[in-house]
Amino acid sequence: MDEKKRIAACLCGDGEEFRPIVNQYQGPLTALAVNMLGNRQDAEDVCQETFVQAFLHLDRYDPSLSFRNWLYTILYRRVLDLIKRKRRFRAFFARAAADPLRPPYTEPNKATADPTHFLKLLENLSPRERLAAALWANDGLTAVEIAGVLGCAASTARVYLFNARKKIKAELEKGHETLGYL
Amino acid sequence: MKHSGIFEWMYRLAPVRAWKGRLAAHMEKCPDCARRLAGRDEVRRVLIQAGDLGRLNDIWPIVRKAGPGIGRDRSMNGTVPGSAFSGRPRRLSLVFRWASALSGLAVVSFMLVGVVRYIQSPSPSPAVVSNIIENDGFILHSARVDNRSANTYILQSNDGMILVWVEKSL
Repeated sequence: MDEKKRIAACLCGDGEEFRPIVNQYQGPLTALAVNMLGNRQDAEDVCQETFVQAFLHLDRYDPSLSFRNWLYTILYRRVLDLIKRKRRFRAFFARAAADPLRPPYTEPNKATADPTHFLKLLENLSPRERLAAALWANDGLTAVEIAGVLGCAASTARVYLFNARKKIKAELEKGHETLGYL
Repeated sequence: MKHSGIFEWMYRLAPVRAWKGRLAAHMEKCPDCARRLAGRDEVRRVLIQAGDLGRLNDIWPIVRKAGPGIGRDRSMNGTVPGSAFSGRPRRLSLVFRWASALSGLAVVSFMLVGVVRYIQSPSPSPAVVSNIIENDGFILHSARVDNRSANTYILQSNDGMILVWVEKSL
């Protein structure tokens, strides 16, 4: 069945029609989240939240636009929220560590907490640059489509993509090609 | 310098993203400039693909459980955190950026004009000062010290006090 028909069926009350959509997009969405976050566990959580949000607010989807890009937009917002939450969390524990009344906070061992060895190459890229690079390279989106996902002007999306490609090229030339992941 | 180098230099200096975007659009198309950027295959090589993830957990039961009533938030007018609709509208952001850039430019030009006028302004000559005072009814035609014309300075404070300073000219 066509994707648009499935969405229409979901809106008419047949929620089971959303299942094939989840199966179809779970992989690309998780991959995009991993590329942005560098952490598979967080990426899977964000992906799940994205599908829940999309399912709950399916009536807000504009059928004239790409459903895949709509999901990417939701995912992008969720990833930014998660990054902000993590930043606040780290700031809170940094303050707690400085407080002499509290026991010192010890950073969890990254090797055990996060089995993903994220590419060093992407560490220099901002989340928006990672997203632009991933959408361009993995999904073949144009700058205009990336701008739609990011909610910015096409020229801004082009700048993110340009910066990402330039940084990756510079890192590749430095010889970081042997890094592994997952 | 090669033209790609010039474009990169211009890109670094461009203050507005829209200008950078135009330069980036050229550099993506131009074969000479594009050599300095990672190609699609190179970028793909450093990214994770859906196929690299292996078997994924079945999240459908959780999604189904969370959303028994599709569109149940239809009545909500506010933005949904994390949804595609949250965040500042693009148009507003664009207006804000332009407004801040223009106001910054206005402040800088105002300061520059002030500095230039300060540098170019001559020191008050006695004649000028006496003309100002003349309008208020105080006339000073000339001042002489040792039978020679002297430099005069007339100052008026905010509370109306007038100071006349006569200086022997060398």
